[in-house]
Amino acid sequence: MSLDAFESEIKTEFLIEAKDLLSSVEQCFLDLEKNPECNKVLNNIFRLAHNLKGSSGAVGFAELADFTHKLESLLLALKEGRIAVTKDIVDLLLRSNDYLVATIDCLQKDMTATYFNAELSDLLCNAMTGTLNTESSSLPGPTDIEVRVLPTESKARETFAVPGSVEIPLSLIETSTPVQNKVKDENIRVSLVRIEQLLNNVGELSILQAVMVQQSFERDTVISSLMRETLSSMSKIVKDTQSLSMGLRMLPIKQTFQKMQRIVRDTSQTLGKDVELQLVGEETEIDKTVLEQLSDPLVHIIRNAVDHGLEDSGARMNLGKPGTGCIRLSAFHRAGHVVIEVNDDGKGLDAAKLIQKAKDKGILSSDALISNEQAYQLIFAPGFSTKEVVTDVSGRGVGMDVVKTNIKALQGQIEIETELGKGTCFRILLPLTLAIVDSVVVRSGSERYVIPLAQISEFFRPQPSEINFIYGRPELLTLREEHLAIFHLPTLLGRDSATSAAEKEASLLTALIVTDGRTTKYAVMVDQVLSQQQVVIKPLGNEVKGHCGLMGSAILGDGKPALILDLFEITKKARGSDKQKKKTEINKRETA
Amino acid sequence: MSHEESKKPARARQADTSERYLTFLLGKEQYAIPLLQVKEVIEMSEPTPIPQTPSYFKGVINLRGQVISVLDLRSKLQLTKIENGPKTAIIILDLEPALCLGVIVDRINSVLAFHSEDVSMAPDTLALKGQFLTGVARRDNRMTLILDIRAALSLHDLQVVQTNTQSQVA
Repeated sequence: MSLDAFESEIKTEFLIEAKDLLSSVEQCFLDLEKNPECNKVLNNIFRLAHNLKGSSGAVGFAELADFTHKLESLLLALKEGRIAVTKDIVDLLLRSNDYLVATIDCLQKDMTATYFNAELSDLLCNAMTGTLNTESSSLPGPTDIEVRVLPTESKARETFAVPGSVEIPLSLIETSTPVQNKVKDENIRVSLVRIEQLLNNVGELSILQAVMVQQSFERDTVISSLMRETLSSMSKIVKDTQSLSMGLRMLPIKQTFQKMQRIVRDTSQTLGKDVELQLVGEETEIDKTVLEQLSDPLVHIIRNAVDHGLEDSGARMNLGKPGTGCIRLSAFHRAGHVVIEVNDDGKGLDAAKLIQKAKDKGILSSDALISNEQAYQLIFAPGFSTKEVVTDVSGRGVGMDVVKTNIKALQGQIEIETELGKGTCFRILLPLTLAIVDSVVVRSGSERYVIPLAQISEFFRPQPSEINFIYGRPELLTLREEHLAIFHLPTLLGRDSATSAAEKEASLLTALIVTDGRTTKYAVMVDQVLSQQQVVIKPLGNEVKGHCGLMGSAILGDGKPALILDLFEITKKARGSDKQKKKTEINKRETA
Repeated sequence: MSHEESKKPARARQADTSERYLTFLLGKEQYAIPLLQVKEVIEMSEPTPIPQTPSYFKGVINLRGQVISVLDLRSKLQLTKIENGPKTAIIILDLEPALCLGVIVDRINSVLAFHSEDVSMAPDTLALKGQFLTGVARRDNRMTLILDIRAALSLHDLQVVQTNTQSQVA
């Protein structure tokens, strides 16, 4: 079956919207569990379910509409107090929510997919009749007709069976809630592509603006005072516009944080621990791309905190701590970074134990002497776990390794602060945005290249005595008693610059020390470091994307593009031979 | 289809038998490409070279904040090289799917509409070149070579090269 373009467009729109709705619904369910009496929360859920039902029917997802209808009936019963909000009910609601999310994911991939969970919808019906228990799930559920009949049937009961909490007459709730509570939506959904176009243009505008201002200060430029004034007020507006438009990519971290509430609830239930999650700084804004990739590592850290960090209630009581464990998840901005902290008041990390474990597992050699701080870092080592038993929740020793890799991919850092018996704090530092990188601009021959600062540990102009020649070619650089291989950028790029010997003499030859912080360390020679600055990454066209170590390009102050180089990638081939050697070395170390 | 045409009123107004082309010079010959493939024409600006690319791949330029690759059409078609002059221009192509490229040409001439009766098939003698010529248009005793720009730039090859390098990286 092929869908008409228009129809598929509205369906796509609907699915995006539905996903948003569902994530807010989940939060409401969790709130509901905490205070089942709160009518406001129920009204909220009801409204969201109602919206979902209405629009899914309207765009032609009949199964979805049918399911949400059943969900809505149950919610109505809850709202009217005919059914008490119990843990089982909340579980069922959460499961329905998961099912809806799965359905929508499925539909996003294939609009014609049919996805129907009869068992869950039977459970919903059963819940309506108040027979929700483990046996009922296997019984054939009542048919649709019964569900639709129920509300009218129970109305009579309603008038006298209401438990004190609902004071308002039923008729009033029914008629007023869906209509009056409708909040006016003042947001517009804009595609990221359009925002990026806007950012491009604004960036260009500010460059042009800078050129113009510079021109106006040239000695022989004659310019009227009005013009000068206009120019200066324009500068302000351009600057303002730029910071505003940069802000468009930013989203509050709220949604990601709220997901964690569910993780904590599920994990603590599986483990039988009492855990409370506190959220601080949900409104902190963070770049959309960073946000999307943050969720996975956070899930790992939080599950870890619940499983390893917190003791169970009994042990806590014995230690004189409150029985309910507490995890605080907070976000804030600090010095150009977004900081996200996961604090638990559990048992903390035991350095001595970590070291012992690492030695047992052969991650650390048996005679190694390391500081406590280094010991804490061991938990990020692949295959490391202090847990004796592998469970569903954790213990495989994979999680924290993945966390570190993910955070690194986001150009972030992760720190650990811990006190034995008091708790642990994982602190993630992330750049405000991935669109900007700290970098150095270097000159090689007549060309300029941009190199991310993250790849180099230092740069300096070596003395002639520090460069050792092999067969008349500079090959080794002596740096603090260490000998590093030298690579020349023009050679690496396959452009042996035709600069004359005289020019070479006078050049400001600089060595960039490239290191990935572990085993590899070498020097790349460039003719000069021009500046150290932040650049906005501009993607290259598909025709050159991924070409020999290009990470993208950046537009420099004079409006010309320069290429951003990935030095690891570029030197890969040249390092090939000695890399092999290193690999065997590492292997030896690992087996040892 | 009717719905697509309503989106492009400029094209719909044209008679079915003619299409508009942007004509330009490469050396002494006049070439043409369909106007619908052209996003804009800009003055020549010196591109930033990209290492380890073919010689006709001139580099990247900054087009109002967008970084665009620029190819030299003359050297791609192995025509005699003419030094860049004040008339040298870059045609920014807007090709499907989402491919934005610049090509350097010697001079931009004009926009012309060729009726189908003006256009003949490329002669067999041009067989070798014919693979990227879709036809030859004649008007006022002047011959215009109509280019299949995708074929002329061997975009297919470019993309193959790209996927190869990517798979090597991965």
